[in-house]
Amino acid sequence: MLLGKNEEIENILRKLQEDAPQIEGAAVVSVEGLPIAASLPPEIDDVRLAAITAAILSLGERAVQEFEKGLVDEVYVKGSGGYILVMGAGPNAVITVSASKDANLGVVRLYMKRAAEKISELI
Amino acid sequence: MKYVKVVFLGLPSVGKTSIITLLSENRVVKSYDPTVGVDFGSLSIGECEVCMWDFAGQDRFRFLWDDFVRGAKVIFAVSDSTPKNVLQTKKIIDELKEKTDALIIGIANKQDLPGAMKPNQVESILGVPTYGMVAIDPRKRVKMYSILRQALEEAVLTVSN
Repeated sequence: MLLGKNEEIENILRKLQEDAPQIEGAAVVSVEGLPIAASLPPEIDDVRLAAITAAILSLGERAVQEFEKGLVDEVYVKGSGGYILVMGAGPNAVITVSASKDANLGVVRLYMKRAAEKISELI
Repeated sequence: MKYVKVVFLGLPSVGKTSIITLLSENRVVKSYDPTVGVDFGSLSIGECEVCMWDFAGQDRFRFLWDDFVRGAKVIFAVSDSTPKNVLQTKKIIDELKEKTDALIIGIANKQDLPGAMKPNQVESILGVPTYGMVAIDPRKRVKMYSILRQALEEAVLTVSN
C-alpha cells in the first residue's frame, strides 16, 4: 500500500525513536515554522514547538554567519533535564528531537542525520 | 487540521505580547517585560491551528523580521495609537508590503489612554484595515478573537466551526 508523505515521515520518526530510544520526542516542521509530522508526548504543543524549532535553526544560521563558521549543521541545547537537537532536513524542512539527559549524543546525532536525509528526499 | 502562521510586529512596548497573551492564554499582562528575539502563542480557531509569532520590536532585532515573516498568512502591525508611533508603524508597513503577500491588518492599541488617535484616523495613515484595541482589558478578548478570525477568512482560508 502506498503511504502519504506525512505517514512516511511519521514512520521515519517512529523508526528513529526505535533506533535511539533515548529520543523522547521528535518532530518535522517546515522552515516557515509550521508542523509537518510529529511523534511527541501529548503534553507538548506541536504548533508552538514547530515555530520554536524553525526560529532556533534560523538563529543558528545567523550565528554561524556572524562567526564565519560556514553553514549550520545542527543546533544543540542542553537543559537540566536533557537535550534538544535541531537540524535541517533539506531546504524545506527542519527536524527536532528531545533526548534524555543520559542520552548518547553521538548515537542520537547519527540516527537523526539518517532520518533527516530520508525526510529531505520526501519534502 | 490546517496550520496558519500569523505574525505580530511593531515598535517596542506597543502591546504585541499583551495581545497574544490575551488571545492564547486568556490573561492580561500587567507588567512590561520586553520580548527577546521572538516568542510564540497558539490558538485553535475552527479547524485552524493558529501559530502566533511575537516579534521583539527593538531595532537590534529588526534583522530577524525578514526571515521570520516567511510563510505568514496574516500580519498584524500593532501601534500604540500615538501620532509618532503610528507614523513609524506606517514605515514598517510600507517596507513589509515589498516583502510579503500576507494580509496586513493594523491594530490601534492602547485606546484607553488619553490622546490616543481613533482607529479610523490610524487607518487613514497606515493605509490598511485597522481596529482599535485595549489589550489589557480582558473584555476585549472576544473582539480580538473576531478580528483574527475575520482576517483568517479574508486570507482565503476556510475557518469552519
